[in-house]
Amino acid sequence: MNWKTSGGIGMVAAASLLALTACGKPSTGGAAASGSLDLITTPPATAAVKQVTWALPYGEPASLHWLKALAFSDSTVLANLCEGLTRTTPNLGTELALAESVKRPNGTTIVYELRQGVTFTNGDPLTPEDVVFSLEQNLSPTVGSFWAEWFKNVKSIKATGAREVTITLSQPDAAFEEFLATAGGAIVQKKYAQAKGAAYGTASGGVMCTGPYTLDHWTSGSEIVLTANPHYWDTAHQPKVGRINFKFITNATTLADGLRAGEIDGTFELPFGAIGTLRSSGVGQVYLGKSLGYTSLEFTGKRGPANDVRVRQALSLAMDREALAKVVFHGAAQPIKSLFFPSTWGYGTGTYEKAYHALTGSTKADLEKAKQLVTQTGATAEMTVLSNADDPTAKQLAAYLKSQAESVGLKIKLTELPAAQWIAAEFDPKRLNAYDITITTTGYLDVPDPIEWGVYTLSKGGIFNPSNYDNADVNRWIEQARAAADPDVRAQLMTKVQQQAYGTDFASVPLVNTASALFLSKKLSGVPVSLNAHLYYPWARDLGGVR
Amino acid sequence: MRLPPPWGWLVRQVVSTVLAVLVSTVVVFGALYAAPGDTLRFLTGGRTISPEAAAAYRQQFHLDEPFLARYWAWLSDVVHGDLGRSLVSREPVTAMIGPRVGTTLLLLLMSSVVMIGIGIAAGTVAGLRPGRFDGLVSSFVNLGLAVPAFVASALLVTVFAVGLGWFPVFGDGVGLPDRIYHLVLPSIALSAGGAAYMARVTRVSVRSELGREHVETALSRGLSRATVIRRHVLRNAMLPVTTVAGLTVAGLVAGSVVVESAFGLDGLGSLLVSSVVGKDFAAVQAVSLILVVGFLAINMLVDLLYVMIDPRLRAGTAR
Repeated sequence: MNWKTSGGIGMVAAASLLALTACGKPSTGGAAASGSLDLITTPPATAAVKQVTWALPYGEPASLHWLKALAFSDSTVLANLCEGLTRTTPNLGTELALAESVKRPNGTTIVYELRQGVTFTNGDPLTPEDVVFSLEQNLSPTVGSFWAEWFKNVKSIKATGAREVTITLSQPDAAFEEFLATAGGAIVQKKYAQAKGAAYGTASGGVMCTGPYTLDHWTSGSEIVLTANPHYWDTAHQPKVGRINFKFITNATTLADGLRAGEIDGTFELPFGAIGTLRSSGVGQVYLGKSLGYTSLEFTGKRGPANDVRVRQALSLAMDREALAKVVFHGAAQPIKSLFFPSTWGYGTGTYEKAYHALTGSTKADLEKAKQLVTQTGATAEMTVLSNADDPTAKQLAAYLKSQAESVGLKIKLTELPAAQWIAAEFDPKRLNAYDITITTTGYLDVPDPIEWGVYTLSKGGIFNPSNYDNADVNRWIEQARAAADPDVRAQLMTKVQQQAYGTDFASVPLVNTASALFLSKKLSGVPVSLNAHLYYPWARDLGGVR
Repeated sequence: MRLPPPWGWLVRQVVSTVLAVLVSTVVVFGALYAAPGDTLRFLTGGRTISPEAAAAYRQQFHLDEPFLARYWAWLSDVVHGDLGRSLVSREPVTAMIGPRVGTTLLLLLMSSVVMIGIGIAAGTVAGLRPGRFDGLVSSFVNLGLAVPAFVASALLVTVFAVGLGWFPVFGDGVGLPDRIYHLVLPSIALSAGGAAYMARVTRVSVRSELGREHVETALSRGLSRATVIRRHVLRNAMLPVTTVAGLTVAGLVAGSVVVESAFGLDGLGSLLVSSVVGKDFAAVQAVSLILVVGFLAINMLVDLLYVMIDPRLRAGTAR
C-alpha cells in the first residue's frame, strides 16, 4: 500500500464524519405546523420533580437587583424570586399578588391592602415599610432605576396602616399601574437591601424577596441555582420543582446540542434556526407563544434619502412580510402593520382592531406601487443598513431587504457590527446617524399597552426614537392618552397616533411580531409560553413533571 | 559584582520577563481603552435607560476618566494585591478568576498531554519507519492541521456526545474525575491542530537526525540500533521539537477561548471574551496578566529545558 491509499482511508474517514454531522443539520423553513402563535401556556404539570436544568441563551444575568434587571436573562430568573403588589399574568393581564385588594378613591390615589401572613424567604414578615422602600427606589436619581419614567407622576408613597400603603399621583397616569405589575414594582426587604447596599442583586449580595423560589447560590460565570421556598404564601400555586439550575449558554449550537442530548431540560428564547432540528429530535416539544416582541426597520436621524416619506413607504411596500415570517423566522412570527400589533391590545380591543385593519398598507409586497413612488422621488443616493453581525436572522433579513429594495430602484449598502458594538450603536443616536436604516430584532414591549411604545419611540425626546420623530399632534395625543381614565378614550387617542405615525408618516417599517419560542423536555410541562409571562410572572412555580 | 553562573543568567531572564509583562499590560489596557464598544450599554443589556441613570453609572464606574489615570490607578492597586472589581458583575476580580483558573489549567494540561504524547509518539514512529504507517500519519496530520478548533468541536460533539452519547455536550463537571470526563472532548478539539503540528515537526526532525553522519558511523561501528536511536537520534531530534512544543502549548491558550465557548466551559478564555465585549477593564487586565505570565513562564521553561538537553548551550550560561 502506498501513501495514496493510506491517504484515501483518511479521506473516507473524514467524509463519513461529515456525513454524520449532516444528519444533524436544521432544515430551513422548518415544519411550522402552528397556525396561530397565540399559545399562552403548556398543559398543566402533574408530578413533582427534584431538579431541572434550564438554559439562559442570552448569557449570565448582569444583575438581580429588582430595578436594574432588564435583559432577558435577568428577568427570567428574577421573576421567580420577587413579587410585587400586582403582577402580569401569562395572558398578559394583571392580577393581585402581594396586595389583597386595591381601592381607587379618586383618579390620583391608589390604596393597597397587603396580604396577611406573607413572609420573606428569611422568615421576616412583609411590612408596608418594605413596600414603600422598594417602590420609592424608583424615584431616586442615584439608584438609576430602569422604570423611572413610569414613576414620574408619583407624588408620594406612604404606609397608611398596619397593612396599608397609599400611592398618590400628581396627575392621572394610566400607565403607572400597568408598570407596577412588572419588575419595577417588585417588593424586597428594606432591612436586607439596605444592609447589602451596592452589593444587593449581585452574586455575592443575593436577593431577599417573597417569591416561590429562593436564590441558593450564584456562581459567577457558571450557574444560578434556585430552590423552592417551603413557606411560599400562595397555597394554590406551590412550586413542584425542588431545584432549578440555570446555565448560561450563549452558543446556539451548544444549546441545541445540549437540548437534543437531554442535558438541558428547557429554554426560552430558543434560536429560530434550531426549531426544525428540535421538532424532529423526539426529546421534547417546541412551543411558540404570544409575545410583545417584534422585528422592524428603524430610521435614523441621518436625514438621507429616507427623509422623504415616499422612500420610507416604498421600503415598506417592498417587504413581503408573509414570506419573511415563513422563511427567515421559520414560521415563528406573524406579519404586522404597526408596532401596536394585536398582542399589544391590553384594553379597548374593539377600537384597536378596527383601526389596525383600516390602516393603510398590507403584509404582502406591492412592488409596482413601490417602483412608482421611487420614480416620483427622482434619483436617490445610496442608503446604508446596519445589522447585528452575530445574528443569523438579521443577516438573512438584511440580504432580503437589499434585493427587494434594489428591485424597486433604491440603492442599498449593507453593513454589520459585532453584537457588542451593534448594541452600543443601536441605543446611541449619534452613532446611528452614520447609517440610514437599522434592523431592530430584539424590541419588545413590557406591557400590553401601545402607550409605552408611543412614549419611547414616537414622542419627542423618547429614549428610543433615533430618527427624532416629532409630531405635535402625536405628542399631544400620547400625553392625553396617558392621563385618560377611560380605556376606550385611551384606545381612540392611540389609534389616532397609529394612523399618523405608521399610516401616514411611516415613522418606521414594522415587519413581524416574533413568537416567544420555548423548548421543553417531554418529561416536563406546565410552564407558560408567552414572552412577558416568563419575564414578569413566576413561571417556574407552574413547572413540573408529567406522568 | 558578577553573580556566579547560572544565577546571572536566571536573574536576567526574570528581569526581562517582568519588563515584558509590564509592557504587555500597558498595551492591553490601551487597546481596550481605544476599542469601540460601550461598557454602559453592556451593563444595561442593550435596553434604554434614563439620562440620570446613565450619568449615575458613568460616575460610579469612572467610565469617563482619561487613560493614564485609569491605568495608574489599576497598577497601584495590583501592586497592593488588589486586582480590582469587575465592572459588569461588581464582584472582586479574584473571586471571578479563582474557580476558572482550575478549569483552564486542567484543559491546557490535558490538551498538552494529548498533543505532546500523541504528537511526538506518532511523529517519532513515522520518522523511524518510512512506509505505510508514515503515509497514514501524514494524512491525519493534514486533516488535523486543516480543521480549525471550532469545527473540530462541532464534529466531536455531534458524533460522540449527541450521536453516541459517550461524553457530555457541555459544562465543567463536579469533582476531579467528573471534570476530567467533561474535558475529554474539549481537549481533543483543542489539541488536534497542535498534535498534528508536533507529529510533523517530530517526524522531520527524527528523519533528519537519522541521516546524520555520526549515526551512520555509530551503526557501522556495531552499536545496536536501539542504543543509537535512543542516544544519538532521539536526543538530538528533541531540540527543535522542544522549542515547537513550548510554542504550541503556549498557543493552546488562544485556542482555549474558542473551545471553552463551544463547550460551555467555565474558564479564563470565556471570561476574557465576555470581559472584552463589555470593556470590563479590571477583568480583562487580570486575565491578560495571568495569560501573559503563563506564556512567558512556559517560554522560560523551554529555554531551561533547552539548556539541559544541549551541553553546548550550558557553556553560554557561564558568562
